Amino acid sequence: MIARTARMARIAFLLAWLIASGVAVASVRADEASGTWSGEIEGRGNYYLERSNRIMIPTGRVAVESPGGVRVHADYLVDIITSASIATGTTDDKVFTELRHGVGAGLGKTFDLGSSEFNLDAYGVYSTESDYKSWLFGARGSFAWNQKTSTVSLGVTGVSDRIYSTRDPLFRGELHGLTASVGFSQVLSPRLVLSLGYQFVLLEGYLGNPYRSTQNEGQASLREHPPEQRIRYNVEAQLAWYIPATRSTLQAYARYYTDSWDLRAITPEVRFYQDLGRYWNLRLRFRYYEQGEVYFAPSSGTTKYPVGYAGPTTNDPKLVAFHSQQLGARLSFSLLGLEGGLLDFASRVVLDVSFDRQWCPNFFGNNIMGSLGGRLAF
Amino acid sequence: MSLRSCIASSVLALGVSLSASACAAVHPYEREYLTRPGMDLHPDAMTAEFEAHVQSAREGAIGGRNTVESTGGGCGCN
Repeated sequence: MIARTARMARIAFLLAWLIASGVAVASVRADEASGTWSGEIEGRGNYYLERSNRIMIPTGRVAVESPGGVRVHADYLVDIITSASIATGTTDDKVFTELRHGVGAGLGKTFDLGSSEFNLDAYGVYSTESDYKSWLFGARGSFAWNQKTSTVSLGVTGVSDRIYSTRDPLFRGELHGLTASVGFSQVLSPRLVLSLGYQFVLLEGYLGNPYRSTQNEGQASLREHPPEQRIRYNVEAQLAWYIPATRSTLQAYARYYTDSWDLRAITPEVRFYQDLGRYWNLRLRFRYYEQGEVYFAPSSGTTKYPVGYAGPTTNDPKLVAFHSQQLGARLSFSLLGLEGGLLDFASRVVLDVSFDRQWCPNFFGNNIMGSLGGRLAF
Repeated sequence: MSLRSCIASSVLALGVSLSASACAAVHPYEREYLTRPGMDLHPDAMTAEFEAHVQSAREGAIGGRNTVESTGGGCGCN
């Protein structure tokens, strides 16, 4: 079964490669005598802090689009993780710092068909750190019709991961995954947009954490061993409504999630955007998250399994029931006021700063998230 | 969720989608408001990826919001 998922992940890779090759060939043949190149450069610093972990992620991205509709992008991030313990969920308490490097690239093309439009994209991401290597390839296509007010999209992603343990040089884990998604969005009126989505994820291989262990009553600790297959489904709906009188936008979002481990979750979220003059925009949001627990979670309030238990085990705090609330604010500022002056080139820069606070009563505890970034369109 | 209910919900979603697409088209000259902040349902890809990564490490559910799926990665995240 694992070999079959690995084969399917390779097919996703092949599909991404074929699309990328096709787009590359099409772009070479395209007539680009007229029009201009456009693009965007983005730099961002992300910050996350909770009781036992601090993560800083500086990241950058460059995206370019040719007059013929060919898009290329590349991004890079470094994940600086400072943690009180290598194994979230254990009692080990040694501070360590680890780096994760991630690099991604993608190629796409827009085929303008007049009143309709077809988009094709292929992308890949590689992530590496001392105990985890991950390859991800994906392809996505979308078709917009009805004066481009109706859009349907299909996507497929293949993942292949290698998991190691810095404490046990003999440990080797593999994880293969396949994601398929379908989406639909519709402009319902000049002020109302609706989007619906469905996603299916098949994961097979080592789905635990080599640093986490569990224990049967009265017995020695063993590495956790959850089932080697997980099938995940989620459906989502999103609505955006613009209110001209107050220059505000209201966004409502809802997601329902369920999987083959019997975990179910709901995620409603509301976002409110408010223009503040010509250059400023404020976004406020509230997100609620609630989940149940997996069928093999240890009994509530304990981390131990009964004597003689031989089923799948976990010591993962995110696989037991909990709920959380998140409040956030983001302020964006456009430098459009510089247009026509000495610093005209900077007039297409948009800067933003955001801060989120999440109240989470589980093992991880409350957290804060911050982000500071800027985008230059050219 | 069984395969049958999965297919049924997909067919239902498709039906709703096709019904919605039968709405009267919004003409190009009526689309000024659609460019306002918040009307793009999948903006800020980099921020969305960061949030999706954090959420996949701290919540049992994953996916949605058009983010590229990540299965995990170090720091006790998977």
